[in-house]
Amino acid sequence: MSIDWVTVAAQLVNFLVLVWLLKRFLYRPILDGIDARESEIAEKMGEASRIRESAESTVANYQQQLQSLQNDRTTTLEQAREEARAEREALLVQTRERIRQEQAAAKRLQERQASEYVTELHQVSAKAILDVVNKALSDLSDETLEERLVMHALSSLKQQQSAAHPDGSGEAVELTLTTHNTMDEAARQRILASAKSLWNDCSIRFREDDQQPPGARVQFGSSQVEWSVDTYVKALETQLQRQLESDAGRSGQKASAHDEQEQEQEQEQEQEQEQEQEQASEDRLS
Amino acid sequence: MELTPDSLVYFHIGSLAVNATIANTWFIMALLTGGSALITRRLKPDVPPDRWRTTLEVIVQGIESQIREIAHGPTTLIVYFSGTLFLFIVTSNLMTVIPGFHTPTASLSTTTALALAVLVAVPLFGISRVGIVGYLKTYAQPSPIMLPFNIISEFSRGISLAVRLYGNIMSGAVIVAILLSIAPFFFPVLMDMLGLLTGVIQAYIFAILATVYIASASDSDSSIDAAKARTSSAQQD
Repeated sequence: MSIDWVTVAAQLVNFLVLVWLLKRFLYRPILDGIDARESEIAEKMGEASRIRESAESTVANYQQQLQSLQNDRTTTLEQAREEARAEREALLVQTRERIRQEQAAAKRLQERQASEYVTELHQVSAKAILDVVNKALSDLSDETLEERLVMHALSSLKQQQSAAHPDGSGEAVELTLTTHNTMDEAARQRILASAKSLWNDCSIRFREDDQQPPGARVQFGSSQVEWSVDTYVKALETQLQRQLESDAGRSGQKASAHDEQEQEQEQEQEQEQEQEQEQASEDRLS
Repeated sequence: MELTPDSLVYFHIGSLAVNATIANTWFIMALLTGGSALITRRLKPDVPPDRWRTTLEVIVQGIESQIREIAHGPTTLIVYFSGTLFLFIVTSNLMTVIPGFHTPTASLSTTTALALAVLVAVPLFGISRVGIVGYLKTYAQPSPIMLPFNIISEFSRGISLAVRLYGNIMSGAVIVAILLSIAPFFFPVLMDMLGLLTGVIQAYIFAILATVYIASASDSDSSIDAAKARTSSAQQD
């Protein structure tokens, strides 16, 4: 057990040199590497945290945009559905109005045609009645139709005057007789004779009027009696008019019943179409 | 039978006789420095660490954490000093398993040199931390009467460091040599295994005590007491 002081000095120097060498090649590189790696890890962790926050922010932004788009889509679909419904209602109203107008026009056309038909029938019937009556009167008697009508009118005038003034038969009477055709002198004498048989003191002033229908119009003061074929024709016209109106009423009832049935069918079809469209919209939404 | 490798001179450099202690010390220095330089030469932050670099990191971080538990404040210089002590001693002690290798720590000259290094380092670290006045005041603590005792204690612990390490390592080498002559086949292996364990523990004790001595120059008593307790338990093991 001895100490070699030269060796001690050498070992002391060796140790100090070893301290420097290990500091240079071991401790500093390792500790610097650890520090660098720790700082790098911290930096990457910070960067990862920032990226994560950015990603979370982006995801939140996208989710918000997606939610907004979904809301907009729902709103747009609902708005489009409402617009389609309103447009369909408007079209239905327009269609119904057009059908109603067309029905009214058809009805007016039908009424006008019926009126024209009645007018034409009136004219034809009147002509036929006149022809028949004229022919019948001609066949049955030598007197003309107008002369018979005048006689009949004078009788009616006499009855009216007797009813109004029972005790005035002795006064002088001046009659004005208006006919469509010009009467010959013989007829005028027969009419005058017939009038004098009714009134003792009477005179007749004969007049012609082309605008007056065939027949006679007798004026006596303020009284007037008119007897013409129009009386018969108007009666016939009234009867024909009633008949046509009753026929038109029956056909109108049938038409209105047919129209109501068609409207009910149209409404059923519209309801079915609405249900199908709503079902299709719900399927698209789902 | 030679008890010290100082007497085994390999060659001379001028008037300096290069004995086994110095030569083997150079070898261990080359081994430690070369290995470290080889592993850390391509050390870059962007290169992933390999297993050798990880091993060195574990060793260095272990040394640093042990020193941080004892010393407070900056520990970088203490890591350099105490870490080099530990690595040199543990490498030397582990080299005892190599047949014919004369480990430097089996030389009292080496352990004396290391103890002298600690003896000089302690006031240097203390003065650098608390100043020369503050450091000298520690010799008069807790009372000026303790000044001679503290001075004696300063030298005695240096001597104890040197003799403890030398005695443990040298005795192990001598026992193995004796057993080789008596029972050359089985018992030397057991003693070598025991010597490995003893060598690691002695290296740890030496480095920890050096750190404690350095830390005692400026740190509080509590941490030093804790370190001393840990050292005592290691010695008992």
